Amino acid sequence: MTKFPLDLASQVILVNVTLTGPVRLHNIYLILDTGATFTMISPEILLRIGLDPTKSEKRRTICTASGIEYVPFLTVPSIKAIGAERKNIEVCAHTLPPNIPARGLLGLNFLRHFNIPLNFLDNHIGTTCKEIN
Amino acid sequence: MNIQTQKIEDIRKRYDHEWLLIAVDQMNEATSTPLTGRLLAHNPDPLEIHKVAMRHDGFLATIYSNDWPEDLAACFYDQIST
Repeated sequence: MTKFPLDLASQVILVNVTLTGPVRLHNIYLILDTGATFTMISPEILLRIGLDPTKSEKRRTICTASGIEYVPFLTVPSIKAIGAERKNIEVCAHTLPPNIPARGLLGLNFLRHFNIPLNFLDNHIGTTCKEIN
Repeated sequence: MNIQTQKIEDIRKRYDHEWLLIAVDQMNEATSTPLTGRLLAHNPDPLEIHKVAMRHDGFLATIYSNDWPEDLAACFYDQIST
């Protein structure tokens, strides 16, 4: 099991995430969110790695904390986070409020493929990279 | 301009409540965490950082200079309606 520090003082769990797109790589902070059905990434980050949200043919209605929105969905070739990698993963292009120091959410469509125990009492996240399909 | 590579944490300490655009030189691949890099831009507005990012190839990181604010609670979710 790979272990990552868990900052108990922080209001959320922030994780480093490397996105591999058709043309570029980009590393950002996402909020680990087991309440999010899908991984959400800011449109400008998707644009930089070579995925244009305005050209996405797939759109869905999502319910967010701020209301109901109709947003584009795109497939990211690779997402690496907390010692795990998922290829060809669908994400929604949406922006968090500007005062949030993260560029999106790492949601269940990534998390559910791995064993990721949140060991709050021991201050670490563990990741078992054995992928559960 | 020749920009010297620095530890990411050292770059973060120099700025207050700004977004940083960093060309990543060294990564901890196991944790997907950038360790060292070169600062390309800094700005309180992430969209200004994005304009610079679009002009650069290679592996970049967008990082906020500060930790999560102590007085900022969050409640996020996204649920798909089919």
